Amino acid sequence: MNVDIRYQPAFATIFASLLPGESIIAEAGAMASMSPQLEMKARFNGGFFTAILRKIFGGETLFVNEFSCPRETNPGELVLTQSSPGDIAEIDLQGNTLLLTSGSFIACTPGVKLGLGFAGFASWLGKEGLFRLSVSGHGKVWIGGYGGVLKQNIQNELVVDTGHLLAYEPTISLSISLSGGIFSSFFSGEGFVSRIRGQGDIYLQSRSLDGLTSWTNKYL
Amino acid sequence: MQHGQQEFAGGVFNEKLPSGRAGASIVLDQSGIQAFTPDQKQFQIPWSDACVELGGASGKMLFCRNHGRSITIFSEAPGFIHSVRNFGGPILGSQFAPIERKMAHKRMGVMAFWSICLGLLGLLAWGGLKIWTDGLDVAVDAIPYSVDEAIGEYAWKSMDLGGAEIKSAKPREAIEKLLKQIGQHRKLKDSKFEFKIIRNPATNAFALPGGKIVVFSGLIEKAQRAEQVAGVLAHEISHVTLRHGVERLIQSAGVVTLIQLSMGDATGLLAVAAKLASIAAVNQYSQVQESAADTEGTHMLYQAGINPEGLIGFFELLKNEMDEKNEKKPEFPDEEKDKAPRDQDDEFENDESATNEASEKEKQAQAINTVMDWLSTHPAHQERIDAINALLQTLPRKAYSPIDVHWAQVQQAVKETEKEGANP
Repeated sequence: MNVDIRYQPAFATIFASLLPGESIIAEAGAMASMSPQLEMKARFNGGFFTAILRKIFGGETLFVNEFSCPRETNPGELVLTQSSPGDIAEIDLQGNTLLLTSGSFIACTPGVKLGLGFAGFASWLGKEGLFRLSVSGHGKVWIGGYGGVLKQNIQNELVVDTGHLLAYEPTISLSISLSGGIFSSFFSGEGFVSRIRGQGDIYLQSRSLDGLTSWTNKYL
Repeated sequence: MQHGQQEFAGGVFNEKLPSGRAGASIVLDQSGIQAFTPDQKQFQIPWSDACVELGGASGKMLFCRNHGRSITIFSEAPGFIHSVRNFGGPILGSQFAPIERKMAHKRMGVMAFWSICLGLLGLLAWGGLKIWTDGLDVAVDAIPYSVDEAIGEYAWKSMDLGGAEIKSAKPREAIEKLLKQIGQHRKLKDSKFEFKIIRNPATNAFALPGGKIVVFSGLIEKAQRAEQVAGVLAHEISHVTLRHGVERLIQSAGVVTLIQLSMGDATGLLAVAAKLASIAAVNQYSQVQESAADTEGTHMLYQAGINPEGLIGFFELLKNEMDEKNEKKPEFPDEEKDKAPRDQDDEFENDESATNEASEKEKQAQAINTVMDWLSTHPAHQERIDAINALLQTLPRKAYSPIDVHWAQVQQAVKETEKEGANP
């Protein structure tokens, strides 16, 4: 499978060339175009009950689509996008696990297992969702964010504004706190922040959709 | 793995690793903790140089670091924390105290979370039940009574009422008089009543939505006094005014269907609704509806000045008949069920014996089905008698006037029509 991410960083789009017998699993609604010989099958996003939980608590779609290239046909091209303008990051899983905040998952290869776990109230208050998706196994995962997607290695602690976190490793812990004192937190416009502690990689989006909605609200 | 060692899946952080980390197989023994990466690299921290800390996204991951923090070995595999405490506990000593506190807090948090979840689930179930019970009332109220009338009218014309109509003046006048006297105290003032007396031995009466009532000749012949028939009629009027037919239709056909029905021309739907209504009227009112009709009927009789003990007397009549039937013939006759619709109150009596052709097995199966069907929808006669008696205890004492109908003459008039074998 050859995957090319084009139009980065503002309008990143995944162009996947599927060879016969290959397939890719994508979030429902992520497909922009596909070759006619490709087959699409919708299935529950990890089993019926998990899909329901993922829909209710993970902010994800109830179904995922599996695009596959039949063995007896020519290779086909699949174009996947995300709903917000911004960049897409490709992550290579080598048996490790990554936790995704709600709405950041776009697609993965079939060797990747999708799961759901309780993220804690800190994550919920930090606007990252009460439950989080976990991706584990071997294969590639594509995540998308609003604005640029930044990978950062944490060695000890980092403070991140709520709504910017896209993904993090299980060795990272999240807690929620005020950005400063009560006065500063209230008047600085920062409010709550996520305190990220531990060792591992995190993925951040450079813009927050909350910021966009606040900005557009002024003109509505 | 050697004897005295334990192995877990986890990972390791170290600068020498390509991306600073790797998955690893972790081995614990008396000397310390070791991590073996897939590319054969080995890292070791002796217990004397180890610091332990709980963390990670789940809050259940244990990190073991050397004092220089150059190596961090971690895992959240089940049993890992317990094993580290077993092997390194004597040396790590007090480092486990804050971990144990944290774990205890976490356990309490998890318990609190599940308690809240269970509470919410209970609340949700209660809410669902409330919506189901109260929601049904709201749905019934949203549907105009004209829908009941339309369904009843359609069923009245299309269904088999169970026999030929008796048009003799005497019994008709008697039933009309009873209906008028009881009907004055009905809940739904818009409702109007129409009735037919049908020649059928069943001790039976039933009501269709919209106020269409069928009284079987068997009921008139077997009732010992007019108050007993008045009790049955009050009960049937209650089914109409409490709109039990539409309630049952909502439960079986769905409220959307009925709303469609009330919106305009829907002949097909009307036919289905009428069919369902007729089935509901003759044998599928629920126990709750039967009890509600008993209560409402008793109130109406009381207000109309008719002794409600007539209804009790009627149930006693049925009870005695059933007892006699059980003593005399254990098998359940079935051909009557084909001739006459079964009644919602089981106010029927089947005098005919089972056909000789029916096999014993079939008879037994039918008997079981009949009893199970009856049990599913009808409270026991004694229960109903007790419930009415209990209700009467709560009402102020009152002097009842006898019904001004010569019941023996009414019965005689019905018998005469049978002799004639045709409608007079």
